Amino acid sequence: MTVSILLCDDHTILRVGLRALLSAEPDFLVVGEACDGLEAVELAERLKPLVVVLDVMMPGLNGLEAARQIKQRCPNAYIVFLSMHAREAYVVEALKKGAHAYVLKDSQASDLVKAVREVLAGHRYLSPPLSERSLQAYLRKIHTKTLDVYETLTGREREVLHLTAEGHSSSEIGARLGISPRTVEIHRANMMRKLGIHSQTAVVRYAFQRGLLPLEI
Amino acid sequence: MVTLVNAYREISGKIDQRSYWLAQIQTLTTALQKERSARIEVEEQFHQLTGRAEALGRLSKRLNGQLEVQTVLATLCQISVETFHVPTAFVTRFDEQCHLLHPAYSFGLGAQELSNLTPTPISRFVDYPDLSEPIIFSRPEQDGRPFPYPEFLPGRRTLTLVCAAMVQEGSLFGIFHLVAFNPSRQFKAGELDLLQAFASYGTAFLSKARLFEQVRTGRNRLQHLSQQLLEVQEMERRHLARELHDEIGQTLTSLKTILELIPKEGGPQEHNDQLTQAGSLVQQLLCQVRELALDLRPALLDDLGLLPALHVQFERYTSQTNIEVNFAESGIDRRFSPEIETAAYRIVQEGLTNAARYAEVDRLTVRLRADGETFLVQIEDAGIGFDPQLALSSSATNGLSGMQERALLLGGYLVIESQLGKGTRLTAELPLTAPIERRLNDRIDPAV
Repeated sequence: MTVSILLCDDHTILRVGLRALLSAEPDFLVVGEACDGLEAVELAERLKPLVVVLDVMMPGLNGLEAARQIKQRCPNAYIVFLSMHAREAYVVEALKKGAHAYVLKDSQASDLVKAVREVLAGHRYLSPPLSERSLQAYLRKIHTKTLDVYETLTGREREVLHLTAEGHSSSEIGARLGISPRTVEIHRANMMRKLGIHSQTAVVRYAFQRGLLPLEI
Repeated sequence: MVTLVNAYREISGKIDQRSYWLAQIQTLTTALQKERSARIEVEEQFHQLTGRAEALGRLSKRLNGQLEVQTVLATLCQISVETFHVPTAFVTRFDEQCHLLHPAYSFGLGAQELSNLTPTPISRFVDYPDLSEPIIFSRPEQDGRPFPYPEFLPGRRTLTLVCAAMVQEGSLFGIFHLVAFNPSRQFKAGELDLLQAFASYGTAFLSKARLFEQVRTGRNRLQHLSQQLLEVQEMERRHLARELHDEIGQTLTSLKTILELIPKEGGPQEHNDQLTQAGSLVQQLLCQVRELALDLRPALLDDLGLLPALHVQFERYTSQTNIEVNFAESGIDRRFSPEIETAAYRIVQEGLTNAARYAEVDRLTVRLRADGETFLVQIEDAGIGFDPQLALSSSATNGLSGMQERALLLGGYLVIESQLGKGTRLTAELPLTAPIERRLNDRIDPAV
């Protein structure tokens, strides 16, 4: 069976080299070449290649966005990314966009052929020194905690929240904190906007739920 | 007889007494009448003065806080029409260069009628430059005073125009006019005084508004320039980083490959060692170039957006400083405008750098949150803290003012909360839609 390949890279010389490399394989057939993201999407839709070899960074529409659109229009196509970026961040983004392989441009030439074959066999392929392990390590590292919105409040906004929940008026809070009632109102507006609450009652409810107010008053 | 004489004497004495009293009453009545008319006069004067004070009070109350030339003019004209019970008031503005008066604002006149009023030479105001008191012109002409705006409302056969100069610190701003169509409308001395006072008040507020407008224009221009400066700086950095990473980096990679391809067998050991050394130097250089590119501006930020760029930043930061970054976010795993992405990235970078330099901590927290309206950046540590006022005023080296500048330029704010011994919390909020309302004097808040 012939493997139809669409080759997308904005460097002409590189494209010529890659075409030669891929065409050397008897069962590979380069059916088209694109020099930017938009052309890549167009040609992929028209030629329906089995494999799309795509530079991550291209002018116009970059490779990542092109891949996303190609996956939408040709869900069966295999996407092999070519990249000069060895950072896991790029790999993760590429995989998110539906890539099956990530090949570094400064790895050995045979690596691309290997990547295409692995992908056809149903495996994910990453150029060394990238590996599934380094990827997992990166994913673990970037795992972030969920944000507690209360913590994004400034000190003043917290004070205004507490005092408002306790039922004090703007002028009382202003007098207590040594700022003008108008400033208190601005702090309260910002605080409520951040917390996504819209009424005095909601402020009290929030304060109870957060345990900012004692249960008996 | 004696009794009769006595009786006569008594009666005439009484009559004398009566006429005396009558005369007395007469005198008193006259004095009282005089006093009464004097009192009425005083009362009238009092009313006039009160009215004048009230009118001026009303005017200054309405003008107070107005900082735009057009709204000051509008208020002046409107209040005058109400106070003087005339149908129309308008202002012409004096152009010093060509000595012409240009129509500026009117109340009670249509825009069409105002624009029909062509620029008028100041020389038509005969008393110029001594316009210290209002001048009255009328149509048909009286006292040989030619009507200064011949083309003004040509259909009106009777027209009274009262003009008061608007002078501020010796220079003429323009002329303020009241227009009456009713020929019986007379302008009394008190009214003319009040009109002159109105004109002076209006002029004082106008010059304030003009100053404010100049300052505002200047500030806007400055802000625009600062924003442009930041953009140009980022563009340069982006360009340099790409050049370093892509061009020099590629060349170095090729060089490395060539060095590796040189056969090591057969040659003298000395050459082999030198080749190995050259290879490791190139490798070292390659790393340095890549680090430099990252320092300048990571391609990741443009290619992939804020979140991946920050992950890389935190990773490098921890490996360079041994400070652990506790990171929490919500809603930022998407693309934002380049200005927002750059500002957020730089604010975080600056905050991390400061913490590494001054805070003496081994961990800190970064929080980022985006909702539909704003993008929030917060960097918090439990380090040694500082005095925000002092840090802001001392020098630009700590980068705090730069961070504030970035936030302000985008219509946001940066709050610096810090206290000696109690850590530091920097909170910036950048608007994704409309600017955020916040008091300027409240940007610096010591933590309590």
